[in-house]
Amino acid sequence: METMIAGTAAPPKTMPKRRLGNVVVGISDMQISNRPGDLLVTYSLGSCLGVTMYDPQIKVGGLIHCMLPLSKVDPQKAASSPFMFVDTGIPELYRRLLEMGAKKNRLIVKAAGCSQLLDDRKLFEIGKRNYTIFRKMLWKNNILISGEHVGGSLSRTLFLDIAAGEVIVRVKDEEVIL
Amino acid sequence: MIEAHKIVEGIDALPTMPIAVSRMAQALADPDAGIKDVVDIVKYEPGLTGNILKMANSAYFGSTGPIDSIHQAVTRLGMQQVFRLVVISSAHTTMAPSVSGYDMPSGALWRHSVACALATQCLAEQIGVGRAETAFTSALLHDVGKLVIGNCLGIDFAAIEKYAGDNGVPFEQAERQIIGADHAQIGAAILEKWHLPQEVVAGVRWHHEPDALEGKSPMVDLVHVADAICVSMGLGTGRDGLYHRPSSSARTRCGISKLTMEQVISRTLGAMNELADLFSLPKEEAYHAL
Ligand SMILES: [Fe+2]
Ligand SMILES: [Fe+2]
Repeated sequence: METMIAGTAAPPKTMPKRRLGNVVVGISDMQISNRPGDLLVTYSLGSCLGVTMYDPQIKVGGLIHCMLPLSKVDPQKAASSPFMFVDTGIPELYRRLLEMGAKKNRLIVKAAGCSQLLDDRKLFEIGKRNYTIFRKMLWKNNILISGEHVGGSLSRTLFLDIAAGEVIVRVKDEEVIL
Repeated sequence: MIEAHKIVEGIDALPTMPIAVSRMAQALADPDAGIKDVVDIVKYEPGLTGNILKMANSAYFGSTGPIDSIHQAVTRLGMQQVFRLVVISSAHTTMAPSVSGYDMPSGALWRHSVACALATQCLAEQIGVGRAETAFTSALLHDVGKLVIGNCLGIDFAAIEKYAGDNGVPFEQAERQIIGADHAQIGAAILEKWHLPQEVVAGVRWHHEPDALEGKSPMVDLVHVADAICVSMGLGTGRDGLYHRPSSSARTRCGISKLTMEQVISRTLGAMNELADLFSLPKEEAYHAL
């Protein structure tokens, strides 16, 4: 988990003014967009998993904020809010993007979040489990992760810029482009 | 180190919790107390009756047919439920302000407090602890100390954050190092001053160190686990991020399984969404202000 904190691209840079998303993805929520002006954002990613998927050719993308790894803990909730769980939310994000014309071989997938409390070995390790389930799902479906900013004890904000396909992670006042 | 008198001034400047909360707590502890006592407590608190009736009539509390008096609310929802509404309604003014030292905009601490109270309630129900009102009240007020130190001029929060980060220690330990006291200690002092029951004070005092409390207490353990859940889920984290050390012994002592915790998380979020308007919880957008 320690080695997981890695912005894959550009070093952190401080922005003069705080970036504001216009499409807010709440906890256990998902948003899809193909409107070029949209900046999707989700706040306060702790142990939760934030995932962006984007097709650069048709410029359509989505952002999801999942809380828990497996839907079997609350099947009723999973039926009413599938985005709460990694195992029901991620396939839903993928399916809706394909519906909008995205193609699997063009999809760029990035992830952020999955933090842990200090010494969270026995309490619940939800961050770690969210990450493991997510990796397994992608691996089974032969999809690569092109960037991630996960682990540690940080609280993160995740953005997806629909026009440029840029994915930005903000930790406190520092921004990292994934 | 910050001078103690500044902290005392900060404590004195906080708006006091309405007396209804401690009187309700006493009434609940008294087996002879009845509906009339509750009605008497609530009716002298301006605004409280209206708020409680609004909450009692919401779909969330499952009322069948309109409730138009406190008497009716107690009959239909029960004393415990009405007590929770009294506490929620009374604590809002105190817990809603911004806490600049912790980077929490106005409403953020309130959101965290309600989340923690709901999670505590849900945990108690799952493991079958009745009479969890003490834990509920503690949970709602557990971070009240942050209001004082987080808004006290002269405290170097950047230094606290750096100390926690550099040493990999919990934020409250860094607070003790830099300020000489942490928000749990200050919080307990505040509640003592407000004459809240000792059990409620203990829940606040030990919410980060349930194992350090001599004799242990299931109520404290519940608040601790609920807080850890909320911090982890990003329900109201501030500058302290996830720099808190959860106690697995507290979880084990209460007999809370990992499965139960996940069910509680899912239910708490559901309740937060349903109660957002009723309890004046800020939306995610509020974090734009950060
Ligand atoms: Fe705390
Ligand atoms: Fe807290």
